[in-house]
Amino acid sequence: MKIGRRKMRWSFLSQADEKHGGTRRIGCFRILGQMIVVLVLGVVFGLLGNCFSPRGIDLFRNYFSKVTDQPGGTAKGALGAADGRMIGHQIAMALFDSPERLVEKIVFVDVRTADSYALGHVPGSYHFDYYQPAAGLAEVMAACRTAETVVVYCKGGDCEDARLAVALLEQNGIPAGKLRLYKNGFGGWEAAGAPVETGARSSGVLKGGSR
Amino acid sequence: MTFFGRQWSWWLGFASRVALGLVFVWMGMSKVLEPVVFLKQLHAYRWLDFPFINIVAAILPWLEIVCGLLLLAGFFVRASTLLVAAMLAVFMVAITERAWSLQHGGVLFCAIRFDCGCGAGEVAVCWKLFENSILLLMTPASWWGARIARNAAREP
Repeated sequence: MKIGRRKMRWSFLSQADEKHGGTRRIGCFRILGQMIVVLVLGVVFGLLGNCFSPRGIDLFRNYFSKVTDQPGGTAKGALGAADGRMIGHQIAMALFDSPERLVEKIVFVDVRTADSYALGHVPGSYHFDYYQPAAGLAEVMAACRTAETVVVYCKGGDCEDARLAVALLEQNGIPAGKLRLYKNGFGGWEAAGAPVETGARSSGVLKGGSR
Repeated sequence: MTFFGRQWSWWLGFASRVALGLVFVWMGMSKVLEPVVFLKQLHAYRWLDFPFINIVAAILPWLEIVCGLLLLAGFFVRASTLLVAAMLAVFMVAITERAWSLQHGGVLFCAIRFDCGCGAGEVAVCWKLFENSILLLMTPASWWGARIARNAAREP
């Protein structure tokens, strides 16, 4: 009786036809099994693809710890903690115009993607991708150690990559007092008509540049 | 009623299956090519924390591709269709919830635009929900299309 009820219950998901005098039933358990196979394939391809991709993510790295560990667990919480180090466009421009920038006592660090950096960045700024730190951390760390002021920026707006990068630089021994966050980001810099360099660092190729 | 020797219902199932397959392969590929961008977009939803966010960011795009390819190839169609429907339902809930959280200052819900991490860049929330609803409506057709094809193959 119990078996009969179970068959009835699952019959809406199964099909039967009469062939060779027998009944074929493809029930929900078969579909469930197929779903498990598809899920396993997704997991295997996902792990392998991530492992072999040059842009793959580090599964064991907590990328957002400095943001979510703040009280309230929101990006705004982390932003509040860094408020004292936030600088606007006027201060950023003054730091950029300072002769100390030319002797690298003031350095700018761009934490956007390599593609965005190549399309345009603050002239002379170092590139450092927070999500792929192995690529440029050593060079940036050397510059930050000798500098007196380090201005970190991302694209601006709600971008939290600059805050995350500042936290990483601090973790690696750069004093917090040196670090500044340019809140307008590259979007604000470009919109204000400030000089923009394209290509590699100190390539000298300027885009626009009227101030 | 038949069309090119097949029942219209078969064609409906076939078209739905292929459309779902193409959309999921395309969406998955756009995420696989930029995994860090997808990770950041996932983080913007504030649904997952470490280590789950990393695991989902690595696996979900490939699951979409696997489901899409299986739908296109016609293997495990009903299992893939169910998974695709489940993913679409979760995506729609996540997009709606995030749009609500972004709604402030009397802004119309449909006027909200953000990059939902769906592989199409910044989109209007209502348009994205409409797109996903259409895809979700295609899943029953894909399911029944697989049944019709199976029954037809068994006919003597």
